[in-house]
Amino acid sequence: MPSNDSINTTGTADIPRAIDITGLEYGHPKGQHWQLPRWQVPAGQTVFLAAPSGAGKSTLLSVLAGLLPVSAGQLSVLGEPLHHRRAAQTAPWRARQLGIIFQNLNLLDYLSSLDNILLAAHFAGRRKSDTTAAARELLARLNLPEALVHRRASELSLGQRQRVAIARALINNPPLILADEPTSALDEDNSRDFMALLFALVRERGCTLLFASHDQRLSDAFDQRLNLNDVSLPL
Amino acid sequence: MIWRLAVKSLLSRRFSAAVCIAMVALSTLALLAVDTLYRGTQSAFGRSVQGIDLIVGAPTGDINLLLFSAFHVGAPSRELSWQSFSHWRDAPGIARAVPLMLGDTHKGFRVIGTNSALFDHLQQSYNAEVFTQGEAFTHVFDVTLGHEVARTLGYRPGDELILSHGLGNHSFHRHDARTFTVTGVLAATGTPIDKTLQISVEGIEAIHWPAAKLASLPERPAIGDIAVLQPNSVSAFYLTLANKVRTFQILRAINQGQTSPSQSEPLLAILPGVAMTQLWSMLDWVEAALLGLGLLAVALAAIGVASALLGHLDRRLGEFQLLQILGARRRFIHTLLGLETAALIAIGLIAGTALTIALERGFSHWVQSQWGLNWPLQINGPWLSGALLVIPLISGFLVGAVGAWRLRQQSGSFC
Repeated sequence: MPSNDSINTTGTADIPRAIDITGLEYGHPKGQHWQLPRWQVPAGQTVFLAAPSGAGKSTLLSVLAGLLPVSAGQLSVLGEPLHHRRAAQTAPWRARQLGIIFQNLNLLDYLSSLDNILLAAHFAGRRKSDTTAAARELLARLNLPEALVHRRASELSLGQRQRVAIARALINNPPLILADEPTSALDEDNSRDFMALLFALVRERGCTLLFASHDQRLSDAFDQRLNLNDVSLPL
Repeated sequence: MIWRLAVKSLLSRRFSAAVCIAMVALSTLALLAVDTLYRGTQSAFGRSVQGIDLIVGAPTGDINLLLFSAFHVGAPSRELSWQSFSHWRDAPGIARAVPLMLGDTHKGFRVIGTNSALFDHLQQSYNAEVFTQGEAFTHVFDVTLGHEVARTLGYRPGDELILSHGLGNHSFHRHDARTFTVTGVLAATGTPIDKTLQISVEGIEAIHWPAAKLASLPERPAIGDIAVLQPNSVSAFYLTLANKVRTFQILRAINQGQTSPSQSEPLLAILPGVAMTQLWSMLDWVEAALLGLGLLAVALAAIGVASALLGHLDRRLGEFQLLQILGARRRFIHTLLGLETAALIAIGLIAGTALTIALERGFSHWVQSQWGLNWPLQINGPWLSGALLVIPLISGFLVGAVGAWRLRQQSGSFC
């Protein structure tokens, strides 16, 4: 049930916060209206964001990525006061600070695996010469055969595309990773492999992970579990 | 990275990109072809009076004199005397005088009664071989053929033909008392002379004699041998002056009736270049029509290319949203779209220009030899360079701006 209570997913005020929300309201003229009275996520935590389809998970992630403007309240992500920013102003910040994994993996089909990853590095302002080796290393770490590094994304299998998508999200060493239903199109085995890889890398790098899914079975592996219906209020 | 992205994106859509390029190339070809057609037509008109300083005829309108004498359209209202022609032919400062006697035809093609001065005029004016087959007429009943006449009717030197009276396509009066023998075929000039037959003025005079009188002539009389065949009148004549500075002086003298002390026959002399300008200004609708055709071709191509590009844009909005989510600034997306569009347009323009040049190089000689059409492709280097720079940039900027605007309408989100 909706609640107006403040929610701190750690219960510890001293740890730096990856996400800090106070009295946040979001409204779309033709779509959803909701509010989040209080929500904080400490840095380095893995948070499972649960909600049924259509409850606003993707919209919340878009707001947290600075892609959608808030109507009222305060929103700080990695110390960046996004409630003061327009979407166009957040692009460089998003490229450097966020790693994003999409529901459909969303690779550019006409680019190679390597180029898909280097594109994200390019937007973060990093030079190709500095990132190519790191991208290759990351792909190797994700068990993508060397022969597939230059293969076009459209020619990869679903499992291979997952690995490239993870590598793209991690190439800039972002402190926060937003994942929007990345396993929804995967079968159980692929889903398990994907989660294992993602968690291994997130733990290793100390990232904060915000993972939205309607699949409650995945929530056990996370530090925290948050049901959007428990914290948000329809306006 | 943006170049790499643009190239790979275009390559991934190579079929639709090729269609866009083909549309731009074809519209460029159409525009350059229309421009060449316009310039070629103007040039062909100019070539018709090349080397002629004055055209002299009986008083009539300037345009009418130009049309019937140079373009063989229409007919003279009346003729002028052979004495007047002789007077000006022999006047000081005259390099060449070409008599023209009109009024007869052969299978719809006009016959010009003239003399060897016409072939000198053709030689001097076009600086090329006058005949592709045979030679000039030397006898009264010889005939030479314009290139188009020989091509259409299939005549060759040695063939015989009968002339008809009158200027219509179907004459009921044939000058069949004597046949004319083809002695030569003129090289194509791209002027109305290609559609005429040329015989001597004596030949014109002879075929208008009564049959009994004509029968008294020898079988094959040489030109100049029979004094009584000298005509009394001509339709008009061309004058080429030895000294061009005297053009206006002679023009004024002819128009003021200073023909000869023995007679004062009113004559009209015109400057063919001036009359051509008047004629051309009357035909300004042709220029407008050609320009309209060219612009229509460009407009159709622009609409086609724009619809193809904007159609693509709709399908690519998801891709641009992805780039935006990954951290691409809007100006990156604007530039990417602009680059892709500019590249398509620039390649199309270059391909169209290259195709036009190749066609001109490949076919101009053939067209020249077949029809005498001299339509040189004149590409203005600075203009072309400017167009190659400006059109792709403007197109790229506009399509990029539309894309960025469409993207702004679709607020970026994960959904």
